Amino acid sequence: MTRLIPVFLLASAALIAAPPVLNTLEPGGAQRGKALTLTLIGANLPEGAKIVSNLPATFTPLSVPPETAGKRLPFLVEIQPGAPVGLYPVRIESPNGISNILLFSLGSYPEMREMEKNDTMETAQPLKALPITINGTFRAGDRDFFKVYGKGGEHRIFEVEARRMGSAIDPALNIYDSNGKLLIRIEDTPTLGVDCRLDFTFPQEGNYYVEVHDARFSDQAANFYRLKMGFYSYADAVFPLGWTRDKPIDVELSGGNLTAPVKAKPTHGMVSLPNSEGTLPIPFVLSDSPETLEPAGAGPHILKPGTVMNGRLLKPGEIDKYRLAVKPGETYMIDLGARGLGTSRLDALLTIYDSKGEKLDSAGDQPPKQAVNATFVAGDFSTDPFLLLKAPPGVTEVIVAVEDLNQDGGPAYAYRLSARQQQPGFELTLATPFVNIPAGGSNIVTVNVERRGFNGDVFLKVENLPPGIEAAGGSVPAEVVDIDARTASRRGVITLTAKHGVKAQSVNLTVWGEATLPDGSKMRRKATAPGMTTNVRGNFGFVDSSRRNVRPFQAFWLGLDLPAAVSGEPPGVLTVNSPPRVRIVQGMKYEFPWSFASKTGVPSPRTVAFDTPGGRDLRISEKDKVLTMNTTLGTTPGIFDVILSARTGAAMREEIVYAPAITVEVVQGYHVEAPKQATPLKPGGKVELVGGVSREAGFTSPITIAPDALPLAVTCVSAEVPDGAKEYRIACEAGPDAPAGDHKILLNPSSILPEGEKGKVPYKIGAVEASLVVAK
Amino acid sequence: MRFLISFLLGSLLLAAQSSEQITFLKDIMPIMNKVGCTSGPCHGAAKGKNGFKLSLRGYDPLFDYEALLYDVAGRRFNRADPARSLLLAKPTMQVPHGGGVRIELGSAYYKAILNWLSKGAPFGDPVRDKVVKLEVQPAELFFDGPGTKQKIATKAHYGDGSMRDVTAEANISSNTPDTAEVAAGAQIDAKRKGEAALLVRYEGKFVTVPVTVLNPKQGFTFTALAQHNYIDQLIDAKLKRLKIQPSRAASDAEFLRRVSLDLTGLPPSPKEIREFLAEPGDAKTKRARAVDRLMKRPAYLDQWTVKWGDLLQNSRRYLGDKATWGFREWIRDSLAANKPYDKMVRELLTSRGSAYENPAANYFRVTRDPKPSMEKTSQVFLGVRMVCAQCHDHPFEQWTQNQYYQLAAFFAAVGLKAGYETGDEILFLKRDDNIVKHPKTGSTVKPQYLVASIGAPPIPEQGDHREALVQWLTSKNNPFFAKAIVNRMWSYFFGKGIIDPVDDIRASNPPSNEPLLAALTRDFTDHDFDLNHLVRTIATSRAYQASIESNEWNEDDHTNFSHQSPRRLTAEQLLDALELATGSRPKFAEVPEDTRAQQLPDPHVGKDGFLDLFGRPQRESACECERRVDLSLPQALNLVNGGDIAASIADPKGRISKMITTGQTDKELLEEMYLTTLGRLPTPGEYDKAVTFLRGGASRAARAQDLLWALVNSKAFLFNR
Repeated sequence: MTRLIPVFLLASAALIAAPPVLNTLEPGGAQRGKALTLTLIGANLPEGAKIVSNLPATFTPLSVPPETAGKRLPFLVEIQPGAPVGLYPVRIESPNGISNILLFSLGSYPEMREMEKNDTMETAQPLKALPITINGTFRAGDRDFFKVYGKGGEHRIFEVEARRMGSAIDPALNIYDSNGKLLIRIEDTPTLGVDCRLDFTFPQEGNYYVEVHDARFSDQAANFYRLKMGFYSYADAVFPLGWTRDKPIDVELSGGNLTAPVKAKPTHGMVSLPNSEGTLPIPFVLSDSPETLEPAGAGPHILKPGTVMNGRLLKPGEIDKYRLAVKPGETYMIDLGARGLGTSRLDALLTIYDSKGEKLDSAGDQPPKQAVNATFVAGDFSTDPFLLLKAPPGVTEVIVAVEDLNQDGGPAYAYRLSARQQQPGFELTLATPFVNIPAGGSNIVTVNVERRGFNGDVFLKVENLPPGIEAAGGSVPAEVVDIDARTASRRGVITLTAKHGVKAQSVNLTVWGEATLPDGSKMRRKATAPGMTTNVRGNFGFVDSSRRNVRPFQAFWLGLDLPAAVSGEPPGVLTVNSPPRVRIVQGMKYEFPWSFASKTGVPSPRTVAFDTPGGRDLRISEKDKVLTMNTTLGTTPGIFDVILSARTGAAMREEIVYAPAITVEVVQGYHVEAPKQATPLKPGGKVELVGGVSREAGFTSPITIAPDALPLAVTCVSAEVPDGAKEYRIACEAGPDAPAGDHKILLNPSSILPEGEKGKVPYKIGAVEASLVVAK
Repeated sequence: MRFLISFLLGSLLLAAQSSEQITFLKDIMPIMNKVGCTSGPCHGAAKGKNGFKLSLRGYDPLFDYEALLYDVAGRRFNRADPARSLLLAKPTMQVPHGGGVRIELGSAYYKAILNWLSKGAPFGDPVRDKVVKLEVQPAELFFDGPGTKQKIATKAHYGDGSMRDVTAEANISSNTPDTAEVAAGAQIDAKRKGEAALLVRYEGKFVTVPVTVLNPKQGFTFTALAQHNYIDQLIDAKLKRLKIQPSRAASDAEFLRRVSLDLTGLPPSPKEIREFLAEPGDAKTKRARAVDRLMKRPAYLDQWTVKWGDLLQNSRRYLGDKATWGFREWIRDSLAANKPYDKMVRELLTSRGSAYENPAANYFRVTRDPKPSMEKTSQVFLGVRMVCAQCHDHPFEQWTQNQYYQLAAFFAAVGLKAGYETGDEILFLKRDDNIVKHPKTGSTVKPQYLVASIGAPPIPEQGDHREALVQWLTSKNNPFFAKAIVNRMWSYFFGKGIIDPVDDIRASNPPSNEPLLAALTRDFTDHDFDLNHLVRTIATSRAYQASIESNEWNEDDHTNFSHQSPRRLTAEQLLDALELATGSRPKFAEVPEDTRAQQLPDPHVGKDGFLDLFGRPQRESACECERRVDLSLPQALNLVNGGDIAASIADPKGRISKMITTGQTDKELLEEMYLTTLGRLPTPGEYDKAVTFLRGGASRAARAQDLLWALVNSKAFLFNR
């Protein structure tokens, strides 16, 4: 896959227009070697916009009728005859920014468009000859029927491309005989995701009806599909599932209608079946780690940390076992990729045993332990299993076992297993596949954090920012490890702001997350990018009753980072009149006045929305263009961001503008230090415990320090420290019988909040330990 | 009570005074059960009464024994002075007792208990003193008419081979007291003609005694009608015995509407009716042909897909919308392939993997845990309700609490986890946490079949126990499996099962015609669980094709299938029938435009509308009772004044509009209306009145709409007759 977005400069434009949005490609694919008119359908599609794609074709802009201006953008496309069958990303660039990506499917069969109304067998669309590819769409509740003629014993493949090419459609395929009797149906075909394929032999000569519909008859915005009918070879098993980037490997394709396994070379994260031009290439993982193949023999084989083991369970009931050398007390991440990759049927159960066969841990037979809602908020679904194993004392070797949850097996039950020694970590995924930054304005990039044992702060950084563009925010506060906690800190938001006058340009950005581990070492992780996102509407039911959306389609295989462009000016600029970083005493409030400068005459919004990713126990209100944020004593000291946004414009042309993120540091109101040295006290004598007190600015309440856990026959008097005082003095007196020894006593600081919401709110902080040495 | 107690000076007293050792098991427990100590409202309640808990109806004698002798530090038993024991003082009200006097001071029961206490309160031998068999004489009661009486005697056979007359202590109840009433002294009074069953219980054993009270009317002569198959022979045999004359056959038009609704859920079209009425041949042959034709239609699959969807609780509330569609298609495909019933059940109960890829796995997604999975399985596929046995042994059945957990243990390893697509779940075998524990003992319960049957496989110690369960369950030797579905299917054609309710098969709920049920079951298993064969056999029987009109000899018969009974159309049938009548189809969101009510995947499409008003089940349980076919005021108001009906009748694209605009004659108009609503042509009288009405005002269209409105509000339309 070549880089989709070359860095280039566009002419500076003072145009104030929304960035382009692509909804549909019409048609969604084409036959290679053919010329066609490709119409990009969407919004804000200016004439003169440029197609960016790696499709081996030329794109010649065609004139745009006035009535479709901005909505339809036609191109004459001449596709090279030898272009490989596959999916090609298409987006446009314009002075108003870059659009989202849609996938264009290149095939080898003649193409035809679905013609409504073909909702019944009686109105089925006749097809003169096979092979053919139909480009169709669905309305809510739609069914598309096609009438084909088949000879007795004639063998045909029927395949629907939909979700694989970025459609929200979940296709189902039925074939009926001429009497309307259902002969065969298919909904999901393993290794094709929710897409489907039928391998069918016509029982006798006659007309047949092929029906395609969405499995849920749902109403989707991305509602397109391609139905392929013909005869071609296809595989449904691939091994290995991935390999080191740029390292040679022969990939074995098998199953399907192949009589014997076939070797193929992967290219650009895909592997195609040689000499088969019907089906789409199969995604193939490209890694940056060393990889190896499962050795022959019974095992257990050696699993080398840092090297990906590519194995498969060839027989039902097979369990692959590996020996992993570990150091007692060290932590290891054992990670497996299988069904979650989309190209394996293995629903893996990962189990770790010690060398005596005692089970230490397992994963895959329960909801993911730490990844719930981590990557998508759309729905609950499984990911491939992983385990964070801390090697028990005395254990120097563990056995890693891989098996299928239902004890199935076969060539399609492949996996990728890796182990690496590591501290608890995290993974990052961009929720935003691309970003347009308005010149003189801001936009946001959302990043999801999958915490893999690490619950501390993560700070997101954007690299390779061009001059004139600044990033702010990106704080992901530490996770509160509390199963009842209402908030989970698994999301961060970065704002990107282009200075006024910055030239429109398109760049690739990379987002990294940085964290400090408990041992003080640093960890960096690069965010992976979805390439594109297609939202899939609705699913109602017990399993996901609280979620109305299905997991969106994303194309990580595109290998993109974060394409970004400086677009036209925003309709107005939202500004928070506050320093970019503020400190707030825990329990106190802070006011963020905001203003809006209109660029296009749009009226100022009356209110703003706010987002505080990971901020806990905040009470935020807004009045008279001032956002007031009250922290509480439950607001954990730490760092989080406040991102303000506002809707501008009229209802039909509404846009959201963002202000640069403000980073908030919540701090403790005061600190009390223990006396620097142990304080000596003689029996019958007196002494003063003296230590330092510091306050945050604005924290003026007196601080009381009460001694506790005193030794016998010793009394101390609480000290009150007024505002301005830098130290405390606690008078202590020992009776004659005071026992000798180095006594650890506690100093309990307490105060009240200077501006508590409900009067005098006690504000206690942790006790300080002091040393009182009683000696004669 | 006092009368009863005074009557009880028989066997127990003799036993207590004889040389035979008196024991808790054999002598005291029956007294406690008889006087009501262990009953639900008293100490048999879940939490007992006033700190004293006994097992319900004494199903756990050891527990009760220990409660009596050892609870509250043994205060209920005064070893030094047994007569002052609390367990005597309480029921005789020598000390206050919330339950009042249960035993008279000095009575035979009192003496028996005192004697037992004086002998050291022995528990007895759990094997020798256990009742192993109960015997009632006579085994069947046959009364010539109401007003006659007969006593029955109950004998208990014990493990040691002894036998005792326990008539006085046995509990006798009638399932139809209006027909056979239980009077004091184990006397049965025949109250009116009909049938009943007596349930005689004693110490966990029970026997049912069928009772027949004949019609006393003289002059009965059985007139033999044509017998289409063995169903008619077996029904006639019983009718003859009971002096019941079966009704004549329904007319061809009545038959066609009935069988069309029952097989396809749809009334016949005018064209079908006309063709069928004109079809040559004898009634039996042409009706059999009609059955075959209807069974080949896609609507036949739709109709039975709805019924199975109800039983298997196919609902997006549990499964999400995609899986609901998938499960519906799986059910429909199974029916289309005429998958043998045992195979279909096997696929459901041994399902695994992704519910999207293997929709049969949705079966377990509804119940999720072993106990509800077992309850549903036993109710749907065995017709046995096990729910009561979760907390205690079934009070009126043989099922014990142990059996409840033993049966649930077959599903202990069934695990569910989220699938790789939103809304999907994967059914797998749990490696851990895959056992069922007994709530009383806390011990692991091993799976065990509900009843022994020939050829049942040994149950493996480890792994998936479902395979063994399914082999046992679907075996031709299983006494419940085939019987349950045969009975259930029968009820769909007669509105009532041979055992009714259909999912409550128990000894105390005997079949109304045992030979018939046995023959149907045998025929079903002989045909390898072929549901279509069963449907065809029932639908082609004369009994099914009988008229709803009764005669003087069967007007009171509602249990022996001597005539058909009107059945209100189900919600889906009604809506689809309205569509045929009015030519107007309601639209539902997110289903294809041409979707009929029978084709909807689950009750969440068109929720809270017409279908729910008319009793569409929400599939919250697997009980047949969830589908309501009653009549209610809101339904009547909807039919009379509801916008749905009015809008359908006045639909611009509807039947009336089309017929008026295409210039149909009055005759054409009326015949079409009658055929599409009542499934028959108007009688001459109806025709004349209707024509007069049509011509009686300015707007013929408005009058035609009124007439159609009247027809769809008639019983003949609303009921399958």
